[in-house]
Amino acid sequence: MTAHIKQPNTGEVLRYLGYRGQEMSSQLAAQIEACGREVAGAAKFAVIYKHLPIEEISAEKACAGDTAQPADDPGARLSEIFLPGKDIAAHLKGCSDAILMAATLGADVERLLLKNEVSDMSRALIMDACATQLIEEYLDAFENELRESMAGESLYLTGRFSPGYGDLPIEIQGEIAAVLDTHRKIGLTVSKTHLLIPRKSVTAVLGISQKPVRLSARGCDLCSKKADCSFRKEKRKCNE
Amino acid sequence: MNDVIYLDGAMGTMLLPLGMTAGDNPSLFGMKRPELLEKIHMDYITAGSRVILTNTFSANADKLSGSGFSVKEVVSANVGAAVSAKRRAALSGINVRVALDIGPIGELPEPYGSLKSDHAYDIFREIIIAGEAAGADVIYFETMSALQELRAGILAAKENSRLPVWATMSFEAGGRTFLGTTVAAMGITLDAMGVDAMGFNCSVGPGEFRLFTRELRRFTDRPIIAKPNAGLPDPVTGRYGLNAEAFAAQMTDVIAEGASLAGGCCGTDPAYIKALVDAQNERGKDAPETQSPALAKTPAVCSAVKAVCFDGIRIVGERINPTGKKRLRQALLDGDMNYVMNLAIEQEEAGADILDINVGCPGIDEPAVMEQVVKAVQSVTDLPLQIDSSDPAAIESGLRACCGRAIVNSVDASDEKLAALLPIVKKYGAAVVGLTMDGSGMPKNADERVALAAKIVKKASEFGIAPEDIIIDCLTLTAAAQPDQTKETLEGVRRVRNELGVHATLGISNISFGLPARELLNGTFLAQALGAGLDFPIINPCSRPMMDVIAAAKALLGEDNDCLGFIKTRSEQEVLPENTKTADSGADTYTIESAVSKGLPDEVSALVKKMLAERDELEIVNSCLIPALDKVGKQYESGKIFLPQLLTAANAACAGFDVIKESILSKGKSDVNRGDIILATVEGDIHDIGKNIVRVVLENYGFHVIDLGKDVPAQKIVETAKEKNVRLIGLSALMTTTVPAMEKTIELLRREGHECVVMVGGAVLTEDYAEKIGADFYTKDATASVRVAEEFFK
Repeated sequence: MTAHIKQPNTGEVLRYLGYRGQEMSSQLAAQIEACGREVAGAAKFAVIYKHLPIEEISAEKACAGDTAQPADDPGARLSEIFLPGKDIAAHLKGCSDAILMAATLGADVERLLLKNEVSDMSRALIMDACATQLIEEYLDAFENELRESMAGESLYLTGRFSPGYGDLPIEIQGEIAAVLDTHRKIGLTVSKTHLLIPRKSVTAVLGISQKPVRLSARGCDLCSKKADCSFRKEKRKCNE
Repeated sequence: MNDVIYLDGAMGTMLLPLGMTAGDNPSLFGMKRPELLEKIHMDYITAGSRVILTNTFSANADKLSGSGFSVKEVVSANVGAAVSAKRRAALSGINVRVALDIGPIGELPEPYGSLKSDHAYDIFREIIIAGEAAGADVIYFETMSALQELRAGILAAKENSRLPVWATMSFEAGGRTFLGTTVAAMGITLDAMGVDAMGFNCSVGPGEFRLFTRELRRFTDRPIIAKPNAGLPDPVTGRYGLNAEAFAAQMTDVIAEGASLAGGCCGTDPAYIKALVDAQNERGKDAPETQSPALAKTPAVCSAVKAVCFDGIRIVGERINPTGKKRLRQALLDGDMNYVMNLAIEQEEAGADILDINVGCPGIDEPAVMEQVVKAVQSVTDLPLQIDSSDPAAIESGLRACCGRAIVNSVDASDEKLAALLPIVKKYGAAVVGLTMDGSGMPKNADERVALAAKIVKKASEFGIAPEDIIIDCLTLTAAAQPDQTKETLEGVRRVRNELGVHATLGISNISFGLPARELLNGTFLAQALGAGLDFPIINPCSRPMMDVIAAAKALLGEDNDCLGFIKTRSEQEVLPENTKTADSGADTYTIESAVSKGLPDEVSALVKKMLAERDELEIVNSCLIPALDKVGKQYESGKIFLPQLLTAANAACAGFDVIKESILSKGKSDVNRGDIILATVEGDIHDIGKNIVRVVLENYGFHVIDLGKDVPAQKIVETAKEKNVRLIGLSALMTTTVPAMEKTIELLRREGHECVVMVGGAVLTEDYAEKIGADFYTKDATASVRVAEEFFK
């Protein structure tokens, strides 16, 4: 299983913090490193997933003429859950199966963040960014392991697609959690307002295909942060 | 060998092949197919189960909402199936008990999630009342990971039913639940609450359960339940690793370790229970009658995550007590929990083992504030608490809110006090401080102290409270006023420890009142008292000399393994002076502006202290601190510094404001306040960081922020605004799904006719969006909110 990550990538953490090359004291740089280690020390990454056959993908109606019409009820029907939206349908197009997954850094990170929000906001902010980056790194590692094991069977894995990306609604979080039994298995719950708790948690869907898939960088349209992206507000992009 | 009572195995695993799908609510599935349920129950009974769990794991109001069925209907139908299996078994002369199964509600409790203890209590009560009416014999909580939630359930059970209460939590391989509760903390808490049987279920297999059982036996003498999974599941196939025989073989060790109620969880079925029963019968034939040796229960207190055993010197932090502390008193009156939470964090970091919580001051609703403070403190520290009040209602309110097992401070030896408080101590299973005084005044000598302590011990024993759970306070009297009493106090400590088998506590600092060199006197008295047997010194753990005395005493009294702790801390401390420059020297090289912009709190506070000798508080605020903040604010807006730097600067300025506040309060003047502002993260949203950043920055500009926290209902915001007559309100929401709650709050403020200006912020908001939901201002960041506030209060 995924090895323990001792510290999140500092460059990425700085990016989350909105760093743009400002002059920075050595104390602040050291504090960011220390926060990263502390968050990684508190993190207990846990992941649960199910391999589900895809029963139906309805993206477009049968073509009548030149222009394809969107289906009335687009989405991807997996054996245990229906994922609505044209974007998830497009993401899973050509796939026979899907991996439905959920992961969390656990409650200790949550507790660490809560405590620092009281005692030292600056540290809390840095730790929040560290935790966001850390779970991404864990998910990347997990995804790579999965991709390698699939490659052994000549299967190909798409990237991760989460509720909130494109038109896959975050209202689906509760259903995903129920199907994966996340409360019992990894301690992950969903609030009535569809938030994942502990906060540093992720759910996602990955498609499995018999044919090679192109792993494209997700554009802004499919990003869950599109509405509130601080890069976009400044007319920049996060991957620049 | 113990007489083992067999429980059943999994229910969900049994329903899946019968047509239920993952994600369905099993209780709804079961109520429609009672004949299937009854058959499963009968299969378990035939296999040997004598306690069967009803199919009500998810039959709570939250999980059933929208199903069209009431909790009562669902619980009755599912319990009914178990009761009819029980009746059928009775026809064959088999005696079976029906346990009303109750699982977690589904949301995590505060401070992690939105589940409030009162709401949890109501949900559990509804299930319990319906289950008892339908014929359950036992109330059975299981798969709990949040001790706070389980406590609410146990209180609901004890207060609404006479049935026995059993409870199990789910522990990961390391012996902690997902929310960090340890086996010890569970054992101490549940034993104190009078749960009839307790233990573990789910999560891991019997191998780990053996270790859990061994640990739990240190903290309870009640029956222990073990219901493990059939090993670990394969991540791809979901199949569990142990077959019935292997499971049964490993369970033999769990039973030998002391579990007397045995069954299975995920992956087990009637074949596993049969194998378990057979293996025990087989073993029973050969094994000699051995009883695992009874362990003496270790007296201890705990929070949800940390146990503190009564087996050595335990430091009780005294700082959350408003007596003589104007700043804390003001914070309590204002509901400023951040100030109180910081006092808790500082004491924990300084090395306190337990925190005393006293909120008594004139003009305060003590029971309500006690509850608020206990919850706030427990959200940021792991330390067990000592609930300190002279008001029994405040003590009960603190105990009810406190997760874990607490100490009550205090009862005295008067008949009225004993009669009023001991039942409360007993109900919540707390430890208790007994004061050696009664209505007739202060004791004159050691003999009187011992006699009063003996009376408390005797009365407590009538309530089943053991001497090892009693901590006697022999009273520290001021040496300057009553010089003959110090040695009587010390002699009292020695004698109550030796003669009564109780623990001893003393508030130390009172000894030196009115004398010079107080720290020297306090430290000396502390050393003498520790030598006499004091094990619960109440001190300020942030005082280095006092902590040094304790570290030295532990080393000399053999409480510090080979003095290693002492050697380690000393060598660290001796290195310090060379590396750290003191704040005073820094004060010469910095101006307030440069110290703020570099984020140096010690330097800022030293500079402000120096300036106070010559200048007025307000002048320092207006001509130094605020301009310094303005400068970093501008640098932030222009992109010259980034957010962490802005916050470090704000933090440094805050240290300066603290000095100003202390100075103003000490002169009896009212605080610097440029205006009151309410801040809240709206209902349903638990992302608090943005609002907290705004709070810090606004406070630094001298505004008085009433921070209502996160997940705040609209009603509460409106009520507070009206009650405190606040006209500027800042609301935060991070998610698109929680902005509607923001809109609702604004609507309610307008509808209730409270004239006010509302500024809103949060990741998903924009100027247009803010206008659409009726806000007056969109504040894109903390500095923008300062500008709104400055304009508003101009």
